[in-house]
Amino acid sequence: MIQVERLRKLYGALVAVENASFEVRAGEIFGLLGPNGAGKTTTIGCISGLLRPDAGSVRVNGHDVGADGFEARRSLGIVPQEIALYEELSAVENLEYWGGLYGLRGRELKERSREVLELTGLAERATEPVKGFSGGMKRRLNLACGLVHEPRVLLLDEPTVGVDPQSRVRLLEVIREQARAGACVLYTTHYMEEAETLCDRIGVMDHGRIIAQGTLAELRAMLGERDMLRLTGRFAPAAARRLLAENGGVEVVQAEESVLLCAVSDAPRRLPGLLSALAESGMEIRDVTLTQPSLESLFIKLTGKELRE
Amino acid sequence: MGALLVSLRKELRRYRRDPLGLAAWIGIPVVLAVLLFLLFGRGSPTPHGRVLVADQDDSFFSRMLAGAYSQGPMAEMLAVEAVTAEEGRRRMDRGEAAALVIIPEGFGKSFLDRAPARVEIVTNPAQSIVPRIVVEATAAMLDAAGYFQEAFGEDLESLPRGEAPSDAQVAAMAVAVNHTVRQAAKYFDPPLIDVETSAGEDESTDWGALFFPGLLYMAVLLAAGGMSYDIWREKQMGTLPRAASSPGSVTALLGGKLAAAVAVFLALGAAGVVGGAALLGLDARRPVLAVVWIGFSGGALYLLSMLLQVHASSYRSAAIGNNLAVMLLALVGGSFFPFELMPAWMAGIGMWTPNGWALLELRRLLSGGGDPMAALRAFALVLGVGLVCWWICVRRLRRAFLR
Ligand SMILES: Nc1ncnc2c1ncn2[C@@H]1O[C@H](COP(=O)(O)OP(=O)(O)OP(=O)(O)O)[C@@H](O)[C@H]1O
Ligand SMILES: [Mg+2]
Repeated sequence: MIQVERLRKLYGALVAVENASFEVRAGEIFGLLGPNGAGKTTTIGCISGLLRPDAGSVRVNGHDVGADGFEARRSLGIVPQEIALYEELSAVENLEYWGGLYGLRGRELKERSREVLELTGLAERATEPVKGFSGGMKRRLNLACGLVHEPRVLLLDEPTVGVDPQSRVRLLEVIREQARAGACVLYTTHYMEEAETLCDRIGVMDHGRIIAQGTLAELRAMLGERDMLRLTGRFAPAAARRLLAENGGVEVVQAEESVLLCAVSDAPRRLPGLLSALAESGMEIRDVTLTQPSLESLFIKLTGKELRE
Repeated sequence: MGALLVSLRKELRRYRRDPLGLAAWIGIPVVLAVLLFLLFGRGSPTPHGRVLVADQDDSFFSRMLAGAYSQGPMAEMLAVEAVTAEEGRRRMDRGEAAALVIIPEGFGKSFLDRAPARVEIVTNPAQSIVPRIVVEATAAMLDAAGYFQEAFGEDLESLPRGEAPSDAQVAAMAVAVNHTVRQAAKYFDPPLIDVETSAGEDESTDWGALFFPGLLYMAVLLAAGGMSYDIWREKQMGTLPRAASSPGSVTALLGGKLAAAVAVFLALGAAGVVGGAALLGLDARRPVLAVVWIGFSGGALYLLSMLLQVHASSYRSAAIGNNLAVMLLALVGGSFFPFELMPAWMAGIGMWTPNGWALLELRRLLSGGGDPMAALRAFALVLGVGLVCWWICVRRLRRAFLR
């Protein structure tokens, strides 16, 4: 349903997306996970036809976005990262407008508007002007406006930012519902947990490149069975690197004066030895964190930095 | 088409929800119009006035002169009332009439004797058009009487005093009256009065006709600028890119905005023409065509203004550029001062500004003048300009404005 091939997008000299390829099928939720500035919104812009790629091709529902934009846009539902609503209009009026643009009319439009308002928990505020809504409520309406016409392809750009935990659970359920009904969902986020719990497959993006993609299980396998050990304190990077490397089963990811990061297999058994080795060589350890294999640790392994910096 | 209607409805709803912006654009010219109305009162291109006639002679000839004021085109403007000289003077002092005509005793006799005949006219200094008509018409009639005297002097002499004139004499008088009316006619032709009165400073001016269409276009300009600036608001709100990713793309959005703008201009034009006619006595010979013209030319001004918006580098420069353009165009294009009151060089430029040109066309339509072909050409030109602007705006919105 969405096919992105060797996508490249430049802003002047800045490479925002480089050689990105992925595919999202019907009924599937594909997560695009990456830190700020990774190129997620730019990728979505190229899929929605808002941005013109510098290279590569994008097809939506079989239609090339560049050559056959109208047909491609018809199957799309978009929830932009920025809240894009008319604040002076009511929730219903916003829904009627956005639904109307996609060809919904009359009874059907009214019914669908009511449905998505129920889904997003806004039914009670339906006729109030949006400018009186809280930030989270606007977010929910922003999502509702992208769902109202029951699109076959959904592009969701961080749709749950600023939404309270209960509402978020509800929204994620709504999105899962769409996929179950056969929609193809592209979901960008920098929330690890969200990607882990929501997405069937995940593409990890950094500096415009998709550095890894696959199901959660596949990605976990890339890490091996190793845990991620994070130490803060005062270290001598070169010496620490050497010391840790002497221990089998430890891979140093990052060694700096204040932080040491390494992937460790069978960490609970090895940990005491590692710590005492470091302490004996005069380095100071203040804090120790051991993380189970997760997207976060994968991201750290792949990029050498944490996702949320 | 459907997406355009959806977009139009959205736009009209937004204006209904937030009418303050619209009210300000239309309010400024309305306030100016009210001020003008209070300052200059009701002006009308067809003047009306009361004329008091005191016929102290009561001869055949004096009665003819007195009756002449209520004949032909003058009958439409002048309400003639017979009074005694004393009553007439009293009422003039109270400002109840535009002019008092006193035909002195012996008028008919001196006429027959070919001696100079005197008629006294007292005019109301507070009024200017009607008293002038009375003075000019009286002079013209006395002129005609002189011609009559010359042509029929012999007959007149042979006319038995106090008897009814012969058929030939009546016919001759009819010719003379006809001549009078024709001579006087130039003062009754509204366009001529318009030209004469608006040319000079101390002559009477029809303020309504002069200022009102300009004020209407000021409202159109302000509204066009304000409504087109909304494209920047839509960009900032994110609704423009969101709509651009819908099947209708930017054309649906822009089309809806244009349609809403034209609807506003049509409403504005209708209210303006009806209100102007009712309050200021504005002449509106082709009201429907005039309203359509306001909507049509307003749409083109909106697109011209949109052209400016989508080429601005930021919303700040768009706002500044917009205000500057509106003020300049309103000033030069005859919205603050009518072309008639401008220095010639400025009027020469102003008439070729888009709004100035549209304003002149509106005045032509309101006065009922101008040939239909010219009006058709004007409509075609506006359509052409509008289409070109539309095309450039859509291209620009797609290519650069959104990115
Ligand atoms: N209109 C633009 N002009 C120039 N550079 C841009 C523009 N939009 C984005 N960029 C740059 O492109 C890169 C990718 O930006 P993008 O918005 O796609 O990131 P993102 O992954 O969506 O980030 P975030 O999580 O913060 O939303 C960034 O370096 C950004 O500075
Ligand atoms: Mg983004």
